[in-house]
Amino acid sequence: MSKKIDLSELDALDQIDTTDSKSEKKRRNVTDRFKEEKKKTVTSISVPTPLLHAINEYCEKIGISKAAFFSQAAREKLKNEDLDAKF
Amino acid sequence: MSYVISIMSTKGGVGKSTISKFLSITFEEMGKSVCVIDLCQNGSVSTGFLRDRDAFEYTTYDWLTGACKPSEVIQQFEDSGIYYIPSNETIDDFERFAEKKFTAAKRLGSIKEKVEPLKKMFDVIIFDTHPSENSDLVSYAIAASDYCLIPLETDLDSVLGTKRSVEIIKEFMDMQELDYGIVPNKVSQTNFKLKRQLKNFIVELINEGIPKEKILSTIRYSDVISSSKNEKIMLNEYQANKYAKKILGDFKQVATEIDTVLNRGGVQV
Repeated sequence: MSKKIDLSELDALDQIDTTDSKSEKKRRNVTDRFKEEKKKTVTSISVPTPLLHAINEYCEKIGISKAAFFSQAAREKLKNEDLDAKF
Repeated sequence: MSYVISIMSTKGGVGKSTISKFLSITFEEMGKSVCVIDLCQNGSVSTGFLRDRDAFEYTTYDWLTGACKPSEVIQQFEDSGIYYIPSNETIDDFERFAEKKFTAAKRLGSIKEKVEPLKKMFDVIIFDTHPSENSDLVSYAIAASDYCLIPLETDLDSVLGTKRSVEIIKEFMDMQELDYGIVPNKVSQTNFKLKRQLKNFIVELINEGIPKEKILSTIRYSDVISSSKNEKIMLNEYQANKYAKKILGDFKQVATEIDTVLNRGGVQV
């Protein structure tokens, strides 16, 4: 009952030049690429515990998150603050 | 005459992959050669045909981007007339590929162009799409289709998903020859409250302007579908199971209705 398909005949019908686009396969793994991009953008920093406590208190006091604190904008703002004097 | 069917819904979990699989089995039993193209990142078509979705060197994405020949990506299910193209999460990248590769005008036809050679070989091509309202990939699939089949669950969200899907399909109907049908799926045979709710949902859809003839026959709910997949046994091998026979009968009815509409409509190869 079932109809068999000649796949090699199908290849002939498919007009795409596969040799040029073989390189596309290299960029196909979305997951790997996502991981690579994540590695590029996510950095880790080491902060001494007393300073981390001070940052926590500071963040609570001015009402920003720690993520915001570590953002560039927050760091710019902090240039004019004297943490040592306040804490 | 061959035709292309998109199984689609903006709502997930309504049974798109299951319907893709069983419709392919049914069409094959009707003497047609079938190719199921998985356009969903979940890769359920592969598991539906009892294969590991990560077992393939090439997937739909590779085929669509020309990185492999059809013979390298098309899989035959056992010794049947059912073929399928497996997918995985890489399919998500096709929209970006199409944006770079094609002009806006040609992008919509990017899948249609690839399917044309297949239409010369297969009687029925089925797209198993991903549930998304704003997916370009689904739009490309509809643009390549002659018919869209929307599974409807007895669930309020599914009704909303059906309405939205019909709106999307109607936009394409203005541009191309396209028809659609709604198939009530996983319909309870024992819970009268749910049966009444489904009846009310269908009335609601008809009142919103969906023609009555677009509502196809129902496919009943049964644990047999899930358990057969979990046991890696095809439902049609459950010869002695009366529920499996009934469900396969439901699919045959729906496949016949679609076949009648498409042959009557005169959709040309």
